[in-house]
Amino acid sequence: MTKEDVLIQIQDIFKLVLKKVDVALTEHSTFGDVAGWDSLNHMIIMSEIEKHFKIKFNFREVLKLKNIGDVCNAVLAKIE
Amino acid sequence: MKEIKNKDIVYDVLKVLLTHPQNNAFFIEDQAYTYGELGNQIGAIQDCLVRLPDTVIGIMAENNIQTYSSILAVLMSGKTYVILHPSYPEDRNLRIAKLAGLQHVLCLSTLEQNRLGDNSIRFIAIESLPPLSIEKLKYQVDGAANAYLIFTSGSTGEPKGVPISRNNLNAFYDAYGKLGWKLSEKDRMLQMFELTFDVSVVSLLYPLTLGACVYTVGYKEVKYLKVFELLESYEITFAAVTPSLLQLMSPYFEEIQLPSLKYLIVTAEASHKELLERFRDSAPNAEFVNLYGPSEATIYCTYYRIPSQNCKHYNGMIAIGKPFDGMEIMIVDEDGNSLPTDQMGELWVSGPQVMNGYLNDPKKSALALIQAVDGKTYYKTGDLCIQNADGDLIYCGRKDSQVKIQGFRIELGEIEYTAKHFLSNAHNVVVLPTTREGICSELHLVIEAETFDSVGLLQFLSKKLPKYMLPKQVHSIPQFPVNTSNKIDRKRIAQLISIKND
Repeated sequence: MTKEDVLIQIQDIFKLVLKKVDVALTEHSTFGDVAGWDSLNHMIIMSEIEKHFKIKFNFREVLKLKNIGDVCNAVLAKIE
Repeated sequence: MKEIKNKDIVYDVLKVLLTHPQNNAFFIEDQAYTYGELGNQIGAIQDCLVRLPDTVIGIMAENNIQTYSSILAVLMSGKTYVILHPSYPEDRNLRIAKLAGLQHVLCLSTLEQNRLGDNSIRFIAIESLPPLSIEKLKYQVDGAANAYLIFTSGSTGEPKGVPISRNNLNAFYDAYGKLGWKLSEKDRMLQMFELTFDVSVVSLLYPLTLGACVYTVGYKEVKYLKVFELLESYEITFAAVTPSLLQLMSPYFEEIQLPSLKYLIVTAEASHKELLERFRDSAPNAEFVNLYGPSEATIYCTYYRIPSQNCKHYNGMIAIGKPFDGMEIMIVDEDGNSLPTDQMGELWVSGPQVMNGYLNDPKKSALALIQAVDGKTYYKTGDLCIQNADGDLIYCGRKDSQVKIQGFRIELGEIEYTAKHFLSNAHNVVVLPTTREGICSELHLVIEAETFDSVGLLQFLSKKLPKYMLPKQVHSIPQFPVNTSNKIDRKRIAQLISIKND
């Protein structure tokens, strides 16, 4: 799976959780860039990402995820 | 600088600004600011403010040194501050500005929201003011003048203004200091609350009276992650947090180690003993303290040092302990008669921390403030408590969380407690009543979980609770929404599960 594939799948999770069709993520998207991406939804999104890719992030890994690019890289590292 | 003899929080901050210019005052978004730098910002803003005839000044709350300097400059100029929030709808900010009679708002020139309504309110861009020393600042204020106005949500939808005078604030400061904190200029203290919420006042000002450093959390960050990142990375020694924030972090408790934390304050909502018990191992050297208080009685007015064992509680909700020095309490029945020890009633508080009345609202003030038979004015908190034989107040829930169904009095907290027990305290639970024509008709149980054994839960509840207390429906949502004060937002939960009241 490429980074682009992961990004598209994460984008679909965002659309599902935020109940929006027009979510356009880039690697540089950060918390606050996307309407509706608040603390509560962040928790839900992270949990959905873990379920979707069948992975688990620990606390220190979660702290390092500063933008969507970081999330994609972390997912890739876990599923490889 | 003229000496002020009575306890005065602003004067004490001013003294530190002059005597500890090299100390770090703030740590904001990975950047430290010294008391010297803070003082120069305050000097510039204060110089601008003293030229204005306004007594009340608005501040657009951002997480930056200019915002914090603005709060201090308003206080040092003897004026009153009101916080507006950039993430609030313009309409709400405008209503607050009108209620407070604002003419000027301090803000950053880069803020997008630098207009309100018809442009009759002027915005002052703080960065445009050249730094100025505070050495010649003349601080002398009237104790009856207001320090700040806090707006709380009113049941009618119109924000309610709570004016807190300098006398209120300093009575609080005096009593808070007497709690015996072992803190000094070397401490690193957390400020995670929205500035629209009054707990931010003490989280911000108290460290500055010590010469300590305040570590802030912006509203644009994932709050619970940022808080724990700061606690761990910067070895924070004092942190006041909401129980909801701890609950969000609870999946990671086993990975968190905070040996430097000396004090953990839980505040703003009921704290559950099991949650704190699970957090003990993460903060092995910290004293846990529950601080309680309505905004109307200035931030906090009771305290309970939470023991690691045999913590006093009611349905799992930790006791709120004893009143602050100078404050008096009464537990009363529905007719306002004082109740004896161990009987549950509404908590009334009296003393120098209690406000004089809501802003321009004598009707609401008359409903909230009452002269008791002892001749003293009490604020009716709306909270249910028991005072035990040791004098400790045990919090039992909100008065309005007590409902009647078919004549039976039901405390929603009791159902929540029982459900949590079945779920091994792994999930948050709320019970929401629905009303028909103003009468409570049925109860909905909402679990913060993706999956759980709903059949088993209902069977368990039916064994533990009388029939009239059993919820009609059980719902689950993966994560409970919290409001800007980080409290569980029951109204939004009701919307999410589509409960309709008529």
